Amino acid sequence: MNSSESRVERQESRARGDTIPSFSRDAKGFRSGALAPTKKRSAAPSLRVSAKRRNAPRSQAPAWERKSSKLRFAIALTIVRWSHRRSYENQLALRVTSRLTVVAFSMLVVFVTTTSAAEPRRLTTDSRLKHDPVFINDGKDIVYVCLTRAEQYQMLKLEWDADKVPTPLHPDETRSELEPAFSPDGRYYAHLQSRSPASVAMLIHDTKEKTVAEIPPAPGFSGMRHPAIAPDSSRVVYAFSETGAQQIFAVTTKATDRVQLTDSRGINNWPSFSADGKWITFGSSRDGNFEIYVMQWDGTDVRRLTENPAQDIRPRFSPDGRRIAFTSNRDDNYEIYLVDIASGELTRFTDHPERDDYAAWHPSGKWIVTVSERSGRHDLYLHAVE
Amino acid sequence: MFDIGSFNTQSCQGVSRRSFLTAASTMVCAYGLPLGAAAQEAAVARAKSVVLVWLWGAPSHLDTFDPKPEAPMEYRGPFSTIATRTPGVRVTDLLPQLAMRSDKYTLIRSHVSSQPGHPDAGTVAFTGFHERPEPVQPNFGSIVAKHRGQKGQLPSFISVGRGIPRDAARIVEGYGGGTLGKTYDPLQLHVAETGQVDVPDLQLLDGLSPNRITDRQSLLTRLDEDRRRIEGLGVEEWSRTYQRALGLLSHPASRQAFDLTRETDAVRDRYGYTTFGQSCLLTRRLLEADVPYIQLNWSQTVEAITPNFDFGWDTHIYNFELMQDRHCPILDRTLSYFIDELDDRGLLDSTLVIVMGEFGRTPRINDRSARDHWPRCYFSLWMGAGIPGGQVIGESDKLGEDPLTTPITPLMVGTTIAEFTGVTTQTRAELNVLNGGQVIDELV
Repeated sequence: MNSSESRVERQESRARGDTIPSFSRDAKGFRSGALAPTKKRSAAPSLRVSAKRRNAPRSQAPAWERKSSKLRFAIALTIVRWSHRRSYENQLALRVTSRLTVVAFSMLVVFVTTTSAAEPRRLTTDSRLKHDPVFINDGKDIVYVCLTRAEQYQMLKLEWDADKVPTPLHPDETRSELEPAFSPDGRYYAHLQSRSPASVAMLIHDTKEKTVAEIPPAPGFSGMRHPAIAPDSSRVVYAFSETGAQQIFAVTTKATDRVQLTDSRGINNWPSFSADGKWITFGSSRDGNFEIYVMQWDGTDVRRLTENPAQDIRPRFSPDGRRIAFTSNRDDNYEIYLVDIASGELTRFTDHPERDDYAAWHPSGKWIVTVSERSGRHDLYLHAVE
Repeated sequence: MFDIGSFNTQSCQGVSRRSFLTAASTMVCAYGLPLGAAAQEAAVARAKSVVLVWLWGAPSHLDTFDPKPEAPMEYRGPFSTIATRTPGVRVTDLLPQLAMRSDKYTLIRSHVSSQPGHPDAGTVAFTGFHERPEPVQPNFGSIVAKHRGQKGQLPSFISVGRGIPRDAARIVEGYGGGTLGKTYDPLQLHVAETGQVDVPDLQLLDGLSPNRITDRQSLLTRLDEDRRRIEGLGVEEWSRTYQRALGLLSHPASRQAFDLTRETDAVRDRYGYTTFGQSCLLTRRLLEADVPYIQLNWSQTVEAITPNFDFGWDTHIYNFELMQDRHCPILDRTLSYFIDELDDRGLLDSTLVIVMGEFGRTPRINDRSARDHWPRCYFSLWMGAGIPGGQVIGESDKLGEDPLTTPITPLMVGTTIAEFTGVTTQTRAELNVLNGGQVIDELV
């Protein structure tokens, strides 16, 4: 049975009202092809990661986790003191009950606080729709797109480990700005800007020269998609459609010397550079539906990494270049998956009934930030990477 | 027991003075009295209420409920299809939760519109007729409101969302009462993604807010003062505002229908914190308050990517990205839970729910890898009020360009709504509305 048949069978089974299959069935959702079958994550991956982080040098642990440890200790100490005081105040008959209650409660508190430390950390609390987070400033800040009012997406900057309020990157801008991309040194950043009905420009900012290069919208309805800046800032790649098929192009940071990198049917989108700048990963529907591909920086040597009837979209290279994180709805809702490029091993990274999307790697490779929907709220979440 | 709308106002001593006064005033200055035969007809109506879920901007039929997986790539797009609970019926993989609920709704795949532009097609979709030659015909909701009259404090036709549907150029002329008069325009309720509900109509009365109106006398005093101030608005406008202020502000129970914080977090969470999500929740509360016709708007504007517009379904660019990133995940989650809630609360049996836009989108993908307007073929969902679920009406051709079966027009939609709500052929003739309309036989 190929993966297409398998998926259809699952859907039809679910449509008939059969019991929703357990997580272990995910392995069937991947096609052998270039990749090995899915490896299920361990039953408690986040706890193991938490243990690793607790053993890490103090200076390497993020501030929020250090605060969390202090908080747990303070809570436990308070409970113990309170229990001593209570036990002397009460009658003997009540002491045992009181002590047992306190011990149970203490265990509960320790369990809850330990578990919550291992869970993905919620970085924002406004719940508004969000897209396309990206780490900048060596991972200190995150820039993301947020629906700050019903008519406008704004780019917001968040110092994520300092409990600060996100601030608009362009406070005075009233038009929607989308899909930010930054060079590793922070000198350049690119994004899209809505100009008029269904007409979107791409801007490339040089923060050192304080200039803005622009690719204006083409006549009629048009817009670029998903810029990405090469690690050496030699070029900016993006997706654009001129003749019905959407291709990936490259320009300089002055928005000049356009070169077409792909030439296929369908839609090519979400280009992203490897850390050494030699490879670009992207999504493409050239073979029927969205799959993940890689190609060399000049558009040659295209290789397909996934093959599944579901959507595999938004790939992002890990900082060490060994893995790619991407979004897929192969298990019905959007989740994040990791593929090891050398071995082809595929791992489901998130597993939640609601949506996990827009994975972006921290420069250290230790964390991935996502836009996740939890209880109908859309916020940034920080996940540890094993 | 003496009920005002769905709100019980009986005190221990019997009918309260306030209830009596309000009921009396409501009957006098109401939204118009029901027609002579209407009361009898309403009694036999299949639908106590109607909800039109309006996907403004026109969603792509190929990328949602009428996929063409066997069509060439230039037509079918990049999405896969998934099975639904209805044997043999597939939708795209953007809608897994709605696929699971196909036994709740009937899918129509053979709609046609006469107009390719949004405001014109919007008027046709809301009224059954083109806006020219004038006069503009009444919205289906206005017809139902005229027929039913106002029985409680809440108007009989309410539009939920972010305002009168429009595009960059102008509003949809068929949004309101048309030949029946502005009295039958919908009450506009604006909903934020946080669930805050505003009533823009009442902003006309400067400073008049529920917090400042503590009793009926203060309200009447205030309204009388404002009447002199806004005499220039004309009698009809004043009357409309007066009636609505009375209904909405003189009874706390009426205002409670708008207060989404009265719902549990669990319920609000399930709808999702988007404008559409919280609008669906408000709509459910309005149904519980027996509002006869609610138009639930996805957005106020059609444009999907335009400065200062609120992301409708008009995807001339970024069609596939918007469908997979934003629009379909929101629709799939919210509409699915809306259906579940109506079903669980027993509202679906007496409520006709229709989900549709003003037309479809080009089956052939355009030069920008997106889709343009396509009035020749599009879809709708119908559920509730005894409509059997799990059926498909109509069929489009192999590319999704034209219906292969009898085309279903907006006038047929309006006529069918009228039949469900007890607005019979005779009543329609008396009102001089929906002339020449035929019902969708498979639904009635």
